[in-house]
Amino acid sequence: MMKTFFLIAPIAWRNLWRRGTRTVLTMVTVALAVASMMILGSFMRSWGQSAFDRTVAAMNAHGQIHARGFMDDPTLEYSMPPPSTALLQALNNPSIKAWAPRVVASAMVRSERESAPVRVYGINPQREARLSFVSKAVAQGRYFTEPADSGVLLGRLLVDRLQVKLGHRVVLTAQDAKGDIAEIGVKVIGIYQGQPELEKFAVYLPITQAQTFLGLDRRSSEIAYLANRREQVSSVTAMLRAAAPDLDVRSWSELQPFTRAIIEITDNTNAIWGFVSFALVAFGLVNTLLMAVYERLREFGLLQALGMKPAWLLMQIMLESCFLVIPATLSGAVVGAAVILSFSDGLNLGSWGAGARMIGASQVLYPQFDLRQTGIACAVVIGLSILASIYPAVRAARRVPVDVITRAQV
Amino acid sequence: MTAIIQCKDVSKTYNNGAIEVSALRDVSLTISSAEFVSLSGPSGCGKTTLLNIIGGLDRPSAGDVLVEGASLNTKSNSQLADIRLRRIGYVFQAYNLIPVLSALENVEFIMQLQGLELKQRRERSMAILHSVGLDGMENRRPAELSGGQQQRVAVARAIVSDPAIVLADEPTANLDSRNSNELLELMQRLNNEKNITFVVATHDPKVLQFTGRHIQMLDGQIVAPQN
Repeated sequence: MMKTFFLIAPIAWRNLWRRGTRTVLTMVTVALAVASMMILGSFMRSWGQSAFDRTVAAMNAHGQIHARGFMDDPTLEYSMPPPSTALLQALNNPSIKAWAPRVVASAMVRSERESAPVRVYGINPQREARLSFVSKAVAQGRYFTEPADSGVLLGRLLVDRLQVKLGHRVVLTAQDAKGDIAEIGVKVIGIYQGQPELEKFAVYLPITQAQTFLGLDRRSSEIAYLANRREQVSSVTAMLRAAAPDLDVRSWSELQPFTRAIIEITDNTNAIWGFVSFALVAFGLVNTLLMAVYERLREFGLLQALGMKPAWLLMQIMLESCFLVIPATLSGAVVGAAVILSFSDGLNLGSWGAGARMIGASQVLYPQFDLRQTGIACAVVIGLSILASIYPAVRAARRVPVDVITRAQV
Repeated sequence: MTAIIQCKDVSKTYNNGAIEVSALRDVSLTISSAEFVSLSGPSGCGKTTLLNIIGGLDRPSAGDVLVEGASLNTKSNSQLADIRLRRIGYVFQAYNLIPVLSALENVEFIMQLQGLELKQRRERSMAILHSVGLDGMENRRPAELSGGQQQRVAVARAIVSDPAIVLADEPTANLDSRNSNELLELMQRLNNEKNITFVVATHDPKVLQFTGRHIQMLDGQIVAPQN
């Protein structure tokens, strides 16, 4: 077998360069298709990832636990007592990276000059720091130090609207757990920068202060949780559901179906582009090989007349295909990787950023080189290309030598 | 002399659309080992078809061909390829060298197919190229050789692995008179020295001077001498 390979391989390689321009053009086509699959794939994955990251960062985490009914009517009427022993045990499972209870309520915030509708989040500072963006997003002032701290964190855009500064007082007005109107005056201790929609509407209080303000005692509105890895979200959610059957446990994809749709669209776009690219490669390759076969029919007849077995001839055409596709695919992978790595510091969408944000992505995307995905793409292109070359190879091997040898002169 | 080729009532019919063409009609022929035989006749008389059937390149519609006593009818395509590889050398009118291989590699190719080691292949190829007068041209590709030189490479390739039979189809058709004579002398010498059986299909009257037996064909039949 190896002897046959070493006999046929040099012939196959030299045959490839008999029509050098055609071979180079085909190789460039294959390389461009592979590179484009990788670049678009990486771009779309980073788009999906940014949509996911934004969703997780926007207080959704990997999932949330609520009292039943809260998702349909998110008011204090559907608050929860502190987690049961079983739920606590599940929340402290090693597959969960972090979790935090929150109080969530709609409220009005007033300054001396303006007022605005807001969503109040009562947060546990230490637990929340491991879960969401807030602790790292404080641009002026400070973050909370303990659950019993006091003060409020406002977003930069809300501060502009209310025309307040660090150290000013604002008044929060909301309906408390009993249905009465509650008010609290709080000092602005920090101003954060984050996603625009959060900056405008989300205000943060230490959880104890929020519970007191809203008359919730030790109850909370939700528990947000973060799995160690994205792939573990389903199993973690199932585990929490089992631990708290009377509560409503939902993963991020159930909480944010729009984000899930975006990720599915990006994945499907990848698959479709991959299919289109491969179809182009396959047709180009079959065309090239068929041309190469038809113009050499006499030669194939000659090889068989000299005693070359049809199976060896088949191997020769397949080898020509391998020699064409493998270097082209690897070159395409190198080009694709180089382009992707050149954007590793981020691809700023510029004026498209606003539109991108509307459909869940960030202003800046971070395309990442994925060795596993690249390996799979290369293997698929090479494997399917070799499969595509079987047809011309079989056609060549099946020709009866006498048909072609006696047909024409050199 | 032992019979090396036996054709028994060989017929060959081609279907060309609605028209049936009889290329060979009940041809019976015996060729002994180490004979130098020519097949001649006008174009379309069936000599190339007969040569192809003897070489296992084509199959008869009726009848049988025995090469060294073995019937070709019972062989698969792969087995026929193996017989051509080990027992039969071919020389074509149009040289039919492999264009991407040098003269030396073209000659070596058959032995490579046979699985011979490099050293042995190289020695035999160099010796045979020397014997056909192609010293110094080993590394030239076919496009860099003249017609006569290419045909010498083709002959060298046909005989390098010591086949029992060499089938040559119009080997002098594309050669000038000097090259034709040199080629025929070479084939005659190989016939005498190595006892290789040569069967040559030809139009060329010069060839008849070199062959031991002359078979005349017409309309798919042997007309002289009668077998």
